[in-house]
Amino acid sequence: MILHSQARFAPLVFLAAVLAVAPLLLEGTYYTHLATSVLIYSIAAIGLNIIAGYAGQLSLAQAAFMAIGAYSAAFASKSLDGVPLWLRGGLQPWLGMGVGIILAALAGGVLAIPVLRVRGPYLAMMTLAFAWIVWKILLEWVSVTGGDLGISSIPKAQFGSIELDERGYYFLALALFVAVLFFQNRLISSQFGLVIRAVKYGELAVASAGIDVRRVKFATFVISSAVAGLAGALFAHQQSYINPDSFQVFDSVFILLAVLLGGAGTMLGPVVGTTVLVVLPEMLHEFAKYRLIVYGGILLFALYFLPRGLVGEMLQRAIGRRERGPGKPYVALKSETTQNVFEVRGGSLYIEHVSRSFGKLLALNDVSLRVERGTIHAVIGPNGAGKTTLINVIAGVYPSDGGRVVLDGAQMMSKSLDGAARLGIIRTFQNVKTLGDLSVIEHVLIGFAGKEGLRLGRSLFGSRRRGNEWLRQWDKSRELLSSLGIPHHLQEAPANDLSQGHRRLIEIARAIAAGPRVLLLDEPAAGLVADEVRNMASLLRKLREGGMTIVLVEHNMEFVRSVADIIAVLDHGEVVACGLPKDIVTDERVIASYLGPSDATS
Amino acid sequence: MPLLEVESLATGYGERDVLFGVSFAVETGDGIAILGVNGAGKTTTLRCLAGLIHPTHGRVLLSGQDISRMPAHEIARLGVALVPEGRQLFPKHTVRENLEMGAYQHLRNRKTALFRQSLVEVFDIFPLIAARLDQPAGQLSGGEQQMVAIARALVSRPRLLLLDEPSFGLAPKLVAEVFEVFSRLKKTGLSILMAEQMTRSALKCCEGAIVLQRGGIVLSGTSAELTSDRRIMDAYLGNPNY
Repeated sequence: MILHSQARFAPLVFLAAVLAVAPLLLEGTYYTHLATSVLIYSIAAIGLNIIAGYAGQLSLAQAAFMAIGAYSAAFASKSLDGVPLWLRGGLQPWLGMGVGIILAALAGGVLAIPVLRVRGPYLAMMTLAFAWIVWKILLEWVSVTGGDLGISSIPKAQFGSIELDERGYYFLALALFVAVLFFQNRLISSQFGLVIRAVKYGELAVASAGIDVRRVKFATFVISSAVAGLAGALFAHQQSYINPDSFQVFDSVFILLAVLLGGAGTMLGPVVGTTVLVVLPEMLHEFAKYRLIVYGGILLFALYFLPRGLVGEMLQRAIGRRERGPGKPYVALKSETTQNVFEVRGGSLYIEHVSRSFGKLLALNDVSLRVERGTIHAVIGPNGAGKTTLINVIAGVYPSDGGRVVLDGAQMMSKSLDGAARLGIIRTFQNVKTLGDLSVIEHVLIGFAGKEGLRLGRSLFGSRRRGNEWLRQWDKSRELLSSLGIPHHLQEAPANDLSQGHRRLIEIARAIAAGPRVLLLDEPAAGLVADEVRNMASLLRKLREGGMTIVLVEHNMEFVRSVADIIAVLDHGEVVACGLPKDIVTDERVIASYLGPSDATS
Repeated sequence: MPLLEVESLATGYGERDVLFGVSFAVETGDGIAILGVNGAGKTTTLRCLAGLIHPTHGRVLLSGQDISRMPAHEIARLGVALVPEGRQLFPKHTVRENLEMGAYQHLRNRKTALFRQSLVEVFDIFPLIAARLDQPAGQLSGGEQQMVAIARALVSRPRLLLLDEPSFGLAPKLVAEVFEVFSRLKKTGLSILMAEQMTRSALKCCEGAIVLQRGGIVLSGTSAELTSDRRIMDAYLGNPNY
């Protein structure tokens, strides 16, 4: 989604201006109260949008986190009752909000640990169960929560000695709403935000760049819960009376519905959705008892006719129009930014007596290979010989049953794809893994994110230097893609629009960007035409000159012969031959089992 | 009458046009290769013929019947089978179940004997599949999955076989064998339309070819014509020695 990096702030500033003058035009406290409610639920929806819309982790517990925020804010504020007024006035709204945010974030963190191990419907069900439990605790733990009577006479928010009236409180909520909106914007357009959006479409591809997906999801879940906590604290001070009725499972569904209706994974979607859902039932006042039917109807309508939500559909139209226009001109880069794309520090990779079986099938049987630094080592063999299994063992996807993998003299201990990637072993996949709506260039940026290491704080509040680094990565990504033969006009298109062969090149660009010391390529030339294969060959040679170590699994023998220093032949999980290309292609056994009698290699 | 006639076919995805007026025909028992660089529109052409996307202009005729607006499952019932890009097997289903999905319309009509006969035929082509029959397809290696994808199309006993990169992930020896199988099947009356990057193998197997560039046909002819003029091939496809 290109829009994140470009047309960013203008609509937000406009929206904030409209909201700032709105209450001045509205008579009476009723509408002001209603407008404040819209802002509060918008904040909660923005929080949910970050985890559900952008990261794709469907949570049904947002109202429960709001409840935690609301109750802890209420306790904190009430505990100040005995404090002298001059001091209380300075603390009151802020202490409650601070406590609300922190406790909601803590609860989010505790829940995230078990919940984020599961996906899809299981995640939704587990968060639903959590929401249920929170609601039931509020109801039953009477001595603390007041049971179904809840907590009453929560003090009004104060500034100094001034107690905020409805209008004053509206402006406080507005200020925080704008802050949260900008926070969302900043987060999502940062490097960390890019990774959040990538996780939604494919965890494997993100992990293969060396990023710990579970940590990213954890941080995102905590952020989302903290934002809900803020909304809850605001709610408590607005209502001055809270009880479990406001935080039922249905309310979590309501917030999710707001996100879906407005447009999950869009900046303003949650705000638009919340506005419609809060205001619409008020307008249909007489039909109050049909409220749930109206919501149900909206949900059915939105999911069927507006799968991208109101804002999402509008963006889709806008992007469609843009694409029909002339492409954006490509601005030439300063040469110094791009010199070091191919500068790598390759490592030696020794595979020693590695075996691996699946049930009764012995996929790898005592395989040993020595891949020296700065060489290209090809692995060929019949289908099902164990080539991909070998890559998976080296890349940490499967543990080996015996033997070891040694990188630069040190035994690889990593048991995970992202762990191996951080040690410098980066692999590509035979079946290309591209990430949904992410643009081509964003795929490469994921690689850089893995190489540089991901820091949430630096990503959010980084200095200008950091911003320049981010821009440099864009330049490097462009350079890398161009050198692979992806034309400029395709670099900002969604990767899924590209042909299979081009998607393969994107994956290789991402792998190179992730800063490998050993690159494992699983059939990089499959699906490429002759010219593209030649480009690929010259790219691999360029990488080798720069010092990269490459393990290449490939069937295109002409390509293999043109780049490989050593060829190993795998058959039934065993190395049956290993040597110089010219010797291997004339080896009788290799011709019989693999190359075929007809001269397929000429 | 040709089995398949494509008349000024144009289509795309959403706002993005990919094909601009492509016309060609495939005779019964013939093979036609679709060649071209990545992004030229080869996969889109096959997807459109299989009914996965629909034309914005032009017509597709199968034995004279207009199938351009027909949903994919109805086109499949008329005897058109696609081996799609990326294989698209059912990874949790066993190999046998994947093949049963391919033969769905025959099994639905209780032609189990026909299915059994089809199985014997595909085992003859891909002996490896017989050994893997009860394994989940997702556990197979890439090349083995490609074999299952081809086999799944064959057990539907199609009149027209649409192949998107049949050589994808197959060892050289197996590529040669698979293309030989295609040649053999054509003699029994099967028509084949294949998008393939291995130009030489494709031209050897097929009677003719069209070369796509940016969504239009820039070159077409019999395989003999195309292979004899090296300069043309070099210009559009690069040296097709690979």
